[in-house]
Amino acid sequence: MLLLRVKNLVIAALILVFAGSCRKVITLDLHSATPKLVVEADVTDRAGGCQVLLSRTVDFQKDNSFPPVSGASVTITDNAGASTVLQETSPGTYTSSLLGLTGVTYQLQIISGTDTVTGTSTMPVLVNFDSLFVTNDQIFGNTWKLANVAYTDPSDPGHYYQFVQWVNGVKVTQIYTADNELTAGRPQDIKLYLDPNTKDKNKIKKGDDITVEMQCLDEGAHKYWFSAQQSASGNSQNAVPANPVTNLKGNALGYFSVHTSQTRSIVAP
Amino acid sequence: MKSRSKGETLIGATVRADGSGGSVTNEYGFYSISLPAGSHELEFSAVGLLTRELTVNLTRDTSVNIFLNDDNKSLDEVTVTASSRRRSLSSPQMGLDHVSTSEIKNVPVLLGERDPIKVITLLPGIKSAGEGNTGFNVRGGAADQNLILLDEAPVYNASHLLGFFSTFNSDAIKDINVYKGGMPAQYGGRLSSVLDIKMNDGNNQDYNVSGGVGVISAKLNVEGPIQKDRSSFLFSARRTYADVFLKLSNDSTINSNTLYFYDLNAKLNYILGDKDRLYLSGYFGQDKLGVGKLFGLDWGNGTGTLRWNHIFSNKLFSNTSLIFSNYNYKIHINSGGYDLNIFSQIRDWNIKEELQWYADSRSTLRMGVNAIYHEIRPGEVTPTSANSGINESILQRRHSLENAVYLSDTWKATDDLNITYGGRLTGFSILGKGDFYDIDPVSGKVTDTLRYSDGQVVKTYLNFEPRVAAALQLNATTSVKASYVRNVQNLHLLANSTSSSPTDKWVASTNIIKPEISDQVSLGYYKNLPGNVYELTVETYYKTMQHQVDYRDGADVFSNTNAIESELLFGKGRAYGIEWLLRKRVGRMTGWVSYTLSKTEKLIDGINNDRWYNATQDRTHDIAIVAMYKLNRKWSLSANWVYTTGNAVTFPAGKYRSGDQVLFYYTERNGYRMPAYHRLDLGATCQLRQKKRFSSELAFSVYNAYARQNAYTIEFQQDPDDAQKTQAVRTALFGLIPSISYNFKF
Repeated sequence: MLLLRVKNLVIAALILVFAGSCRKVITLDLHSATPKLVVEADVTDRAGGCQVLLSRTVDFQKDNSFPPVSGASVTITDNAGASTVLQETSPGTYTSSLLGLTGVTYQLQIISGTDTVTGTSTMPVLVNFDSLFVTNDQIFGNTWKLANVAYTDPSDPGHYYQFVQWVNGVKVTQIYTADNELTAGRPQDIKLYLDPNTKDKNKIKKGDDITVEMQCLDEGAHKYWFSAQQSASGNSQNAVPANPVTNLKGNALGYFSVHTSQTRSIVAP
Repeated sequence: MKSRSKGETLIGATVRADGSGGSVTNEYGFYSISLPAGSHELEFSAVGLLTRELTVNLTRDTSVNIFLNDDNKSLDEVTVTASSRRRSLSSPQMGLDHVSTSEIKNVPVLLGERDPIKVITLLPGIKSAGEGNTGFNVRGGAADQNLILLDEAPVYNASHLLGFFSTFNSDAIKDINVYKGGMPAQYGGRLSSVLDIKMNDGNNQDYNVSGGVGVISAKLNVEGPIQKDRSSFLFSARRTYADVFLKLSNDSTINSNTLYFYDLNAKLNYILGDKDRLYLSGYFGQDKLGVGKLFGLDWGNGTGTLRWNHIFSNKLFSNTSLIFSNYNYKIHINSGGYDLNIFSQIRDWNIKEELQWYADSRSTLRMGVNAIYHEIRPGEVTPTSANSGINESILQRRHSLENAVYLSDTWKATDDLNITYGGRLTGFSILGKGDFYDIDPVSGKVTDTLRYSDGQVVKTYLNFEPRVAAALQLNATTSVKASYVRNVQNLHLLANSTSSSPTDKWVASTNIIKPEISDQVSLGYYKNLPGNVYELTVETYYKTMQHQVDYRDGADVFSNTNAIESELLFGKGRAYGIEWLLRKRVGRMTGWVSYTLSKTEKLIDGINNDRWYNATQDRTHDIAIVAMYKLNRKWSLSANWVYTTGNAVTFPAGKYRSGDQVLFYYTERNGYRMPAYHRLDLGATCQLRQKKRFSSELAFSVYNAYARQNAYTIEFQQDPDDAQKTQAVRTALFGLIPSISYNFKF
């Protein structure tokens, strides 16, 4: 994971240095696909964190406005049998005041037209987000300011993490995941690398507001984000392109993630 | 047979008796010919050397050692120089291409770095795995299905600088053969091809020093007798110096980076009397890539071969080889709280005994035994400081024993019909100690763990590989050939990304990963066109492949699990095509035109709804035109042009939102094509002053002469300037790249 990220960065940098390669935006004739239901289902341990978004895929050439799916029945049931029906508060957005509790497994059920989608996810133990800091890193002649997340990995196996980064309120379109396969029991310092092709205006500068959310999630939800980063983010260098491995059953893309949420902010020095 | 000036043994030289029939020297220059008692006219010939004729009066078995002189005349007159060995019309061997060192020397290449692997990809049926990639695909096979041998030792990673150059230093190489089909029984272990590279033996007549300085590398080659006529040495070294330019920078973030490779080839050989000869050869290469102290990746191959040729009699030739080969990589990371090393290795000990028996004038037998002990260390992570954020983790070492016996007979059934038949029996034994797993084929989850102790046999796979080939000579200039070959492969390279990486993983067959098996039938038509100036070769093939291995979607290739099978899927493949090669071997202008029309498909359980789909390397059309022209004594020119259909690739059909960012929606595997790839390269070589012993030349080359922006990758991303848009971005690696190099010899 960590290695993979460093390796990609090195190869990208190497290709740029070695060959002075040339990048160009091109037009491709891509097929169109029948729109498919997309589920983004999150339950967190924070108020206002229970939200299910339903939308549909659009063709590549179209704008990034994804048609919401209204009128669905969305239910979340815990392993004690208590059900919560989510209310559609705006088109395609279904919410509830449900709070996720440690160790509880939740079952999601969505009925939309003829589609039924189900999924399960468990709230893991919280691992404390110890600190957020910014370092200056030298990468092939350039200095990059990068955010770092510090926490201590528990010594038992099976902990998974996701980090979400915002710079000046704008979400960085990178997926950062981690597991504790190799790092159990050790203090961690995760460097949130930026895409080597990031434009200068989008790099972190002195005085920028940086916010990072640390999520502890279960294996199935982690697998979704890990595989999304590997094979569905449009970068063909990591792996053969494919849809992420979903933890949902039924004819849909997306995920069901019950996770902790801790957020820290810092002004880049 | 040997060359007079260098004492190098001649491979594939011909011996003809009384103007017909005859024999070809083997890889050690040995030949045997059976004739009735009496007087015979023998004719000895080899490319670039003067033909010699000899009359022998045979009364009993006789040894005739032949030295051929350099053909200086043809060089001066620039009229007739054969560029390579003639392919044989009568031999049942098909699917064989031979590349000569002069072709390697003349084909223009990237940054002037002569590279045998780049030259073979210009032949029909052999496709480069892509720009900046040393891998190649033969008749639809994957890049790990090529058996690459350097003096009989397998080379596990033939690439330098992440694939921009190959590990083979053309100065040290004597002979290259590529078998695309109809592999003889002495080769086994890979499905798709055998690339057999022989190093020079070293001149046992005289000292020679040659070398060169190019844009990115310098090399030096020294050879000479240790004891004249009896023993010789060869030493060849090459190093790139891209990092020297980095060092020139005042910027410490640049000059602290490393980026280079070097390789060394060495060979000693001793003639121990009339009947025995010993060879010791070795290769060592290393790549170093580092980003300051932050990250380092070193990788390299080492091989060693000790060979003993023994002539038991005029009809029985023996070769015994002890072979070692090693590939490893090391990664160092010192980043933030992570200080660690990662190490991985594959290592072979290999013993081989082969007999060649020239039974009578109709039959030549080859038989042998081979045992290889493989040790694989898949991955070992060790922290290098006490407060490193990582734990020590050592994956189980894997041990296996690959045994083979083989026998083949090349039989002259009639004057026009030659048949080679035989087979290879391989036994692959997976040895303990270690844990092996039962895996649920659908979920990939481990259902049971089986524990084996040291040396215990986990499983043995026995496979018989029949090899049959026949050639029917229709007339003096035409023949047809047919062959069937089965190959079995027990070492598999797991590569998840589209580009190759030094960290791709070699795994041996296990209880779950079955030996890969391929069956190939091919048919060929061979014609020498008027005056023997042109050779036309047309071959067609159909190949099936079983037990192919692929990663599951979302597999973690750096996963630290011993149960690697839980990340894999299995399936099969098929490939078929037709290959045309028109070659001009003699004259001022030499070269070839090659065209391949082919199809390669895969069916992997769990991918693309279990339907057949185009393999990545499926490229419908593949054309190469190579021309070399000797203008005068001073200048020779060369050009090559390649055109191939783009790789089959997976592009998105749509997109969707996931966690406030856009992901791409894929509906089918490899449903699209990269844009067609084409490129023209030009080269020119200027002979500088030629004194008694000293000669030198300047070689110029232009890579990608019309600066075609060939797509290396096409990636999809959010438009950085418009949050509502996504875009496709093409990366092209190289524009027009000129280079110059200086080579000398004395």
